[in-house]
Amino acid sequence: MSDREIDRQLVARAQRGDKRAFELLVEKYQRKLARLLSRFIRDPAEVEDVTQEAFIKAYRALPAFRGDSAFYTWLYRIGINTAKNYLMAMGRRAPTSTEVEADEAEGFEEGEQLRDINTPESVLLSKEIAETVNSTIEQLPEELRTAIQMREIEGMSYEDIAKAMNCPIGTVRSRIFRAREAIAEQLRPLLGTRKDKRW
Amino acid sequence: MKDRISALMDGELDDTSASQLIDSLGRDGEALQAWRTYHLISDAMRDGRVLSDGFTARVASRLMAEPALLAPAGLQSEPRKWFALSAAASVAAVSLVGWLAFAPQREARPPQVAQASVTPLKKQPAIVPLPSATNDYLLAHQGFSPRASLQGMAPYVRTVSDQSQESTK
Repeated sequence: MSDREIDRQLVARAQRGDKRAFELLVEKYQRKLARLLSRFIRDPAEVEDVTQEAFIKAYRALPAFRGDSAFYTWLYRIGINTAKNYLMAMGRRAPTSTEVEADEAEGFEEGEQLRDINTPESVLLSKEIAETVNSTIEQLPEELRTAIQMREIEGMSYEDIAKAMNCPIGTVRSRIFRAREAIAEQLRPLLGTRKDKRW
Repeated sequence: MKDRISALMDGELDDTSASQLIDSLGRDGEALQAWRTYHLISDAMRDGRVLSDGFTARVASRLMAEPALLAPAGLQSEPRKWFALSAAASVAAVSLVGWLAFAPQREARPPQVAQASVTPLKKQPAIVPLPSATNDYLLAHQGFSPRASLQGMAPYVRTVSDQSQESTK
């Protein structure tokens, strides 16, 4: 099942009244949406508020979502409109539509400017998480490290990874899972003990 | 379970297994935690931005206050499509019946045929004498004719005309 089809199933369930399904979409897209909205709004706390508002608006508009576009495209458009309305209400200038488009948002991954807008606290935490993830990846056996990087960084399918690594698809699936579990194991103390934990 | 969640988020699970797993994600806390952590790892490998830990909980809290979406639309388009098709079929059927019933009646024209030089034989129409009570019978029962209500006075006029012919004979 493709990523888009997974979203479609979650949306269909949410449309039938399953709020838990919508929460899974929130889990999945919260950081991507916040990353997009941080191009409009500099303050991290405000970014979170607008991101939250965008998700609520999306939930309310869910009955009208027909799946003509991908869910995240639709969500990002709602997010951009929410950010613009927020800035206008605050008497601030909203970027024009040509400055940030939803189509651009789809391919938007990361930029150095994002790191500049984070507060020292969030920068520290983000750095801590990133360092934990990266250091764990560096310590992984080579076959696990290669598999997870091909998947997450290169966005390759299991089939392509299997060809590249000359191994069965089932082995790729196992390697990626083991890599994720190894990283998750290192993250658990960090995520579970901090009072001001941010993730 | 977790290995299947890992495959699910990579879009590498078959449809049946994926549907079952999505079902269980809403019930199993450990599965949900894995879904959450794996997505965090994925995002962290691409970009370090994080949100506060309470973000999802705050959204969930606001969702609880939202009315449930009990009038599905959008992706639930199959039942709507069938409803629309059946409604369209019903309208079409009613329209057809209405058109057949209320369309102006035309006298049937004989089919046009090629003119031949052959002189047609003149045939005298057969004259069948009607019983004397026929006109009275038709007049009394013209109300039961399906055309009577649609054609107004036409049947009645025809009957009177017929009677007029009788009287001229």
